Amino acid sequence: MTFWLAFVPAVFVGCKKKEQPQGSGQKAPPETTRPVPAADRVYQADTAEKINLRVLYAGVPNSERAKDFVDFLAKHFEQVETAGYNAFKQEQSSGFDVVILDYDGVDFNAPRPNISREYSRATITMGVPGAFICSSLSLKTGYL
Amino acid sequence: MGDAAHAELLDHEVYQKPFKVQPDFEFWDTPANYRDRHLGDDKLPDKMKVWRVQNTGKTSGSVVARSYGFTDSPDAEVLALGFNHGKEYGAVGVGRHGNFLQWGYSAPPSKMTDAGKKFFVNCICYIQRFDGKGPLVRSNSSHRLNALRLAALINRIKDKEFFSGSFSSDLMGKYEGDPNGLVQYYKSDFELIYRDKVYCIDSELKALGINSNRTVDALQRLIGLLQDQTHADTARGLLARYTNESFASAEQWQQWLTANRDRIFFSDVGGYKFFVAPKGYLLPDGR
Repeated sequence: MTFWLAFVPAVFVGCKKKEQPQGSGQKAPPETTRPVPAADRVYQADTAEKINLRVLYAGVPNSERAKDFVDFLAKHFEQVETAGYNAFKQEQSSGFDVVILDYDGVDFNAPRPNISREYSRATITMGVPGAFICSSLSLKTGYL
Repeated sequence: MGDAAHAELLDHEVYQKPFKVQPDFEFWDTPANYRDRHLGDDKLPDKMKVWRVQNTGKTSGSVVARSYGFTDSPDAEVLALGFNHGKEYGAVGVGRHGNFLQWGYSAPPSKMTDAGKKFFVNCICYIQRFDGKGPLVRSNSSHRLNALRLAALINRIKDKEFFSGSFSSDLMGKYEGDPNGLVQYYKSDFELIYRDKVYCIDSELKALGINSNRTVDALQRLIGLLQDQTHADTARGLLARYTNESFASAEQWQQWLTANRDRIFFSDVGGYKFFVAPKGYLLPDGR
């Protein structure tokens, strides 16, 4: 409930900015309709308006890199939380819109979180370790 | 891969929203590996238009995925071609397969360019719309373009065992010392390549006068031939080769095809099979 109270005004703003089809002549949908996905909304660059997505960043705790990412993500997204990359369990993705799996970007021998083929949360894998995660799941985005 | 992406694909919506990505372009020398691995008959330009995603100053450290077969299933798409010194032109710097988006660049946001930062934020927003949409196929074979790429290498790699999973010993003997001949062998029947332990040309399809193994028309032809006693057994065998279905009658095959025609696709990477995308999986534009 608390989430929706915060969410509806943001969606309403987003709807106002969404491009409307020309000549549709249709009334604007009521606010109670399904929220417009963030990917369909157009934000103005360099404004303080945050994107209404819940992002889970799973990185290396207490690392400079993790701080770098989280600081950046927090500037752009309404909700950003963190988890440990090594200990990441796919169940932790529950309640988030997007998960980012990030180790260090470059390590060919980075550990790989245990992710099943049934896992379907929208997820970004980062750099070389990300490519190896993709390989282990037989994805086209994998290394080689 | 280093810091840059090629300038192609900037019309994709992932560059348009939420932020408009407006990179500064540069022209960089075409890497030697691009020419070395180029499979087309055309000549690559001396310089290529690129933009910097990040500023690490390194020419390696990031990673691309191979381009071959990347888009042979509708659950995958290329979002950025990575400028690289290891693989082919067209290798994937940023790509999506199902609910996964692989960002091949290595740097944290503080080392991304302004355009790179906007692209990264857009990618986060973009992949969210594929939440719950796992991949339709998994990589369990290699695309037919690899037959050409590997055929071109038979003189360069001396260990013949390297090719044991690619070419039959008969072919290796026939084309020993003649990579161009082997490349041409596969090019001539490119649409009929499939894998059965090695890269094969489907002579059975060819004998039936069917000139591709990856079109829905070919599927329709094979189903039609089930009614022809002369070719029914061959057609049944070919349907088993190229689908995961096992219907008993021609009518059932036809019903399956009719019901799914708009959602059927063929994937080399997925195992040289026809697959059906579930209803509602694809976006209206086919993604």
